[in-house]
Amino acid sequence: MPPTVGVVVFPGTNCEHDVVHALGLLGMHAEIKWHGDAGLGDCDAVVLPGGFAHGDYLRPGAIARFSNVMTSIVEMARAGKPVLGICNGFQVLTEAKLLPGALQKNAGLRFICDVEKLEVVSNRSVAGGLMQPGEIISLPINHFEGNYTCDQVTYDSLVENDQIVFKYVDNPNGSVGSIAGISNSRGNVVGMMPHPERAVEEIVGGTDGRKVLASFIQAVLNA
Amino acid sequence: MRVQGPGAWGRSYLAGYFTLRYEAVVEVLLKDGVSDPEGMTILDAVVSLGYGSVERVATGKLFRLLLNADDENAAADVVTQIAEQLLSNPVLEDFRVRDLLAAASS
Repeated sequence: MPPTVGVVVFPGTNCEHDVVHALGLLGMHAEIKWHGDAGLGDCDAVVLPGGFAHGDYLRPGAIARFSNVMTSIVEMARAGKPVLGICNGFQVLTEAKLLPGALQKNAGLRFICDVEKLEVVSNRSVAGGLMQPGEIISLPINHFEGNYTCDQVTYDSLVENDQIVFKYVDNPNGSVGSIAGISNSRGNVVGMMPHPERAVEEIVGGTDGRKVLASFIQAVLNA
Repeated sequence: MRVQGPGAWGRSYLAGYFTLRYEAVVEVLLKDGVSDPEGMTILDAVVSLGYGSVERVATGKLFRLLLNADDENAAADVVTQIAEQLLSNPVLEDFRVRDLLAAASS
């Protein structure tokens, strides 16, 4: 069986087909997995795509954390397998405590749908291996709660352990340290607010997302 | 009305026979130091309404839970656990269980 990436769907997730399509363009087999099913046993990696899991009720990601599939995702994260949360998926990963900090409402209270320049800060994680630190890429963002927040101790440890993957060049949402994406200390779990899967074809606004997803695929193949 | 639990004797005597019904209100507010853009926007509106004496508005959520428990302490324990695990995110928010009241017993 070829390496497979599971793409998890919660009620309200809406970017799963984009992720499957984008990974497919880069030659990676991906399968959609329903959140209520426990098993991701046949998957080598997992993506939690964007959307509004459980309607973002309570807080984005707060309810999704209790889905059956989360047990498998926690096991995969512990086993060192690549886990990527995009947008709402990032929010789920922080609520599940697989990543530190939290995402709160954007400073300025606007839903932001725009293309942002990002600086690659670390290429140590599963989402950065094919890029160079300092490299600037452009990816779309599309969120209301993307304002990354953590206390000073957490921020210092993110810096010290090289866990900041992407920073906004022009911080659009008030995130601490302009953070757009982080990894866990091991580097196998990454959460990012920008959408790499929406930037894989020139006709729809750039291909920088390919660099992120190709890095992820490389990590899947090497895991 | 503050809860009048069955007391130590009553608790052991009544345990397992029937439970009491409680209503709890859990208040969740952003921690001090966490930016509250919604609160700041509301403050602007309050001030432009003419209430310049208001210095700060903090936003949050309020939850009302109706539950069955053996006594007030047991009810408070359960509500606190729920508030910690689900209703609040400790990175951003503090919670307070308030107004734990005995409702009609079942």
